[in-house]
Amino acid sequence: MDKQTIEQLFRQNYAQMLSLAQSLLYDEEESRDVVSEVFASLLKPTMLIPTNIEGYLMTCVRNRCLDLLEHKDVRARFEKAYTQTFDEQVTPDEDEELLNDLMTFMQRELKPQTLQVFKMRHLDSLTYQEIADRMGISRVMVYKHLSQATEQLKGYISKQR
Amino acid sequence: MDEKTKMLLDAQEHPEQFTDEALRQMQDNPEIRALMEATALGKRALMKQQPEASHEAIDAAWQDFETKHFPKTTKVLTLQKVAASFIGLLFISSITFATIYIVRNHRSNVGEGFESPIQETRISNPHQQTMPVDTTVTISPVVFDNVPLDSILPQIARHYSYTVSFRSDKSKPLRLFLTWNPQDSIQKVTDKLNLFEQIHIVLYERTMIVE
Repeated sequence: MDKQTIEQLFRQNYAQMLSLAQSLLYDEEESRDVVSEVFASLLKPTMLIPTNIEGYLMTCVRNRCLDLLEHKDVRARFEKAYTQTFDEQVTPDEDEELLNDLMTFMQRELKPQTLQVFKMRHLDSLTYQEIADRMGISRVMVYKHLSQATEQLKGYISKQR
Repeated sequence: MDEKTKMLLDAQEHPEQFTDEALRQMQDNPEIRALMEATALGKRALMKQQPEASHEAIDAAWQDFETKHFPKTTKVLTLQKVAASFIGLLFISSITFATIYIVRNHRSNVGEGFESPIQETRISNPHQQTMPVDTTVTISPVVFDNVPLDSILPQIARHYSYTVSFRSDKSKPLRLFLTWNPQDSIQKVTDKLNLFEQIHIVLYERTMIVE
């Protein structure tokens, strides 16, 4: 594929691809590397590309991320709450729909403070003590909020399947 | 608080306090796996709400990619090629000059009735033997960029005086990025095409049969 075509695809799809990688890896640098590797693979002269290239690029990002997750050690997976239980049969579109529904559910059903604690823990990667300090609550309360959020999410997801 | 949830929260906060085996056992527990999955999906849903990369970030990422994968060596290469060609021309010119000089010298010596010194004629011969004139025409590789198989194959087949036969229409629209060197044998080209999972070509009685 020539440079001009790759640049066009890069500019059109980079943001979406990076967002998908980040949603799976939670690591910006690692996610940027994944997206870059996917574009680099297009440079191979005998690369077979399907007609729907945007869908193909997203699938490549997803597969590479899953491959990376598979090679993380068990400790790293727990630290970041990674899971290997992704359903590989789910298409990127179905996956996106599930995530949108889940976000709607979280905004509607979780208590604002519970959602806030969940965000601080998983988006900002704060420790339980740091969350307790920032929110002016006890560490036990942080546990309770996280526990509540996790169980509500689990209940919602099991109903969807 | 549910014991399993507490265990998961502890393991996420302080995985170093658990052995690999203990963590593995937790991961194998269906209830804990379901909780992990719920947490991971919740995190992914939150991440998805984050703003996408800005134009500036995309520009920077493209520049990084460009530097890494499209290094700006074209000018240097071109200069090197020009220099190499120039040196080559000088070399050939000097051989030609030497040859002409020797031949003229030889003729004039013959005309004057002298025996030509044998060692002089030997000067140009070794060069002539080691530098045969290349009369073959170099054929550049052809790059098929996102071209359907049913457009690529007839062109390749024609070059080798073969015909193409598709057993089904399924593979016709497959679009390929393929570099074809017409100097390769048709067998080699076929082998290269057969590396694609969806393609299987057989050569039979001057026909490229696409299964």
